[in-house]
Amino acid sequence: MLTSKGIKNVKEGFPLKIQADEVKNVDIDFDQDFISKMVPKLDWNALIFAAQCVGHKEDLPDTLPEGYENDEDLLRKLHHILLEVEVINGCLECPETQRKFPISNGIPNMLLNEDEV
Amino acid sequence: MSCSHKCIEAARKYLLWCANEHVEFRIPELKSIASMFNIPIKWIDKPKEDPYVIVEMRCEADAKKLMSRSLLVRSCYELWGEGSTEAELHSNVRSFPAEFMKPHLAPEKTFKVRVEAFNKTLKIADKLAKIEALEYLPFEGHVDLKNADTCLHFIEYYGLDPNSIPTTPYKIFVGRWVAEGQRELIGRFSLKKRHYIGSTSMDAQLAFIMTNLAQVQSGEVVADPFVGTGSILVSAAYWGGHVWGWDIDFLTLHARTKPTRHSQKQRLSCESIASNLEQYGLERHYLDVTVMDNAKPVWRDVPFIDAIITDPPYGIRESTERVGSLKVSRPSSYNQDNTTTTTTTTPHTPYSPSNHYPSKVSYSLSHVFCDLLNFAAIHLIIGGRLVFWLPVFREDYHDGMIPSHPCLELMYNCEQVLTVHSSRRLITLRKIRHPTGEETAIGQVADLTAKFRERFFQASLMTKDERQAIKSQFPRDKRGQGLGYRLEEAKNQTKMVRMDVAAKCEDSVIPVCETTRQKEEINKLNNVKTVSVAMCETSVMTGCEISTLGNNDNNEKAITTNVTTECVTRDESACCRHESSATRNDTLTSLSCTGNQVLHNPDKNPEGELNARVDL
Repeated sequence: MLTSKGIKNVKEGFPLKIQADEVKNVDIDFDQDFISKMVPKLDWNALIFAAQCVGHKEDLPDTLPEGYENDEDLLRKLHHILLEVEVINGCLECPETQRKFPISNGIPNMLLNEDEV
Repeated sequence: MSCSHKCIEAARKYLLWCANEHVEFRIPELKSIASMFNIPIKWIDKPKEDPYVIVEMRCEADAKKLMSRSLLVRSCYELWGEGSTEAELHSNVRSFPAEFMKPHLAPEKTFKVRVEAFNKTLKIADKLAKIEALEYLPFEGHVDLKNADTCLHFIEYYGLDPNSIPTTPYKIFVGRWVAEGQRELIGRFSLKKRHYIGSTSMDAQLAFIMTNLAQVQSGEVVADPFVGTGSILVSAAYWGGHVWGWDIDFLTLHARTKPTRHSQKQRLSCESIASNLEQYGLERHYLDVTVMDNAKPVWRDVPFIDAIITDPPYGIRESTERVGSLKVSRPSSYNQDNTTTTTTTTPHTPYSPSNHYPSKVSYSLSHVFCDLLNFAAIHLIIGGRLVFWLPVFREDYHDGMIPSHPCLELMYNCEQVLTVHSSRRLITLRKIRHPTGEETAIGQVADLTAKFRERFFQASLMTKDERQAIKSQFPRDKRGQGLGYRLEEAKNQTKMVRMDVAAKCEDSVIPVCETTRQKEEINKLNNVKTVSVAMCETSVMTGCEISTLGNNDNNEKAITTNVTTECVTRDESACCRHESSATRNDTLTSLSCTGNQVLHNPDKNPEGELNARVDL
């Protein structure tokens, strides 16, 4: 969802590359309704790219299969990658300028410096 | 609808006993909940200030659904009868269809009757008499005071004013208890027990009302762009929303600000927005929080948010800031330097904020709101709602100050009074379509609201007497909650006395008090200090004389016959001020204007109004 297009001269700034130094797995109850609502809002390629970055690509398909709403197995995997894998420390990297946005305590810092806006 | 089989029965009347606070929010909240659950509601009487609202709903299931979300309704009853007198009430209850009554009074149902009064304490003997009077009802079951199946309530309403309680009630209702509202959440989610709070954490009740106005439902994405300590997220998560918050303040999000709780010296390590959700077992609804600048959104332009609920900083307790610099020129190598420092820091303190803390410049309120609306227009789904607070200076407020966007439709606008001078308005907007091209928010709010901070502090410099005088003009109820519409009315009666005197005001005596009521109102002003006559958009007035006539101890006499001390001439209006020596008990009865140099400009406004304004 996040981009770096706030930076001067950056056109798209998406997807940001995740560099994970510390990843935490948390247990969260599966909510099928929410996940299937969320999927169409996401950019699938970006999601797969993000999953790869944090080393949780596992066996997620490269393209979003038809009828995903009823594929509980897939939704569970998505649930895991979307909600249960949390990057505690690391950074997000802009694909165009390689500007890095730090993540600390699980909170990304997307602030730009005054000379970048 | 699931309850359609029950709805064959005719619609029934339900009595909603509302909480006697946040009166302006009551109806918008009910309407929002009803539309969220698709519950058709017919309003039987025009909702008033008193805490009883009578509505018609299809069935009890609908009533229970409505109550499962409402914070401002105390309890809901199926109305069996109402009246202004006991005789009227009992005749109404008698005519309530027996087939509706019977199932609840059947032999296998235990029952109890409760007598309750609003604004009066009843004696036990009186209560018993009132219960006895209901003996004509076909009770067949046994009495059970603890776990009755059927609870009948006999409710008497003695008005809102605790200082003038009538001997007989204004209204009496008899109803069968159906459900309680959600007021217990106020205590359960109280900020007193919240792990992590700050100086502007949102009160639990208001946070829940906001989420109701935003129609947060299970499985939705809810965002708060000025998240602070996450108090709004907690309420949104309670209704099942998945919450995402962001804020520009790194220290707030990392809970490293100075503690605001009395007697707390240091922030505990467990304090965070996530821990607030964990406290109530809502951590599964936590998506993320992010440090971000609302003036420079970093979102992909897709509509993915179902509701945006937020309380932007007003610049009073929390400053309004965005990233930027006032310096025009800066070394161009700086950017690269900074990037390299970020990447080459040691692993155990990888990206500490001390590397660089971007400088911030002030972010005017009008920009705050315009950016918020633009963000909502792009990222809300269609039908999604934006709910936010708009701080206003009460005297200056008019509806045009609400920021607007062509893609967002105004749903509700409710006032919460903060001080005699200031209030905040909860604005609810709904997205009706996606923006096309360059459609952006219009913030006419700008100029006046931008001065909010300035005016706020200016007001606090008033003397005690001046403040007292204004207080009498803006009555507040005991809890300090706004009774906005009542105040509006009072404002119109006292502030501007409009007179139908046009061009010829030479030597004319302008009656200030035309009716006794106005007389009383002006009397209430007590310390009249300045009287100003304003010729609004009509004329230019130079060197005119004004005198006020007063009524001292009921003897009509001139309390002042003063001349102009100051003349202010502006483009479109001119006003003439003078100090009068009215004292506390004087009644201002008339005001005369001997403006022999008053020039009327008929081109600008042929009807020309002369307004006398009593300034405090």
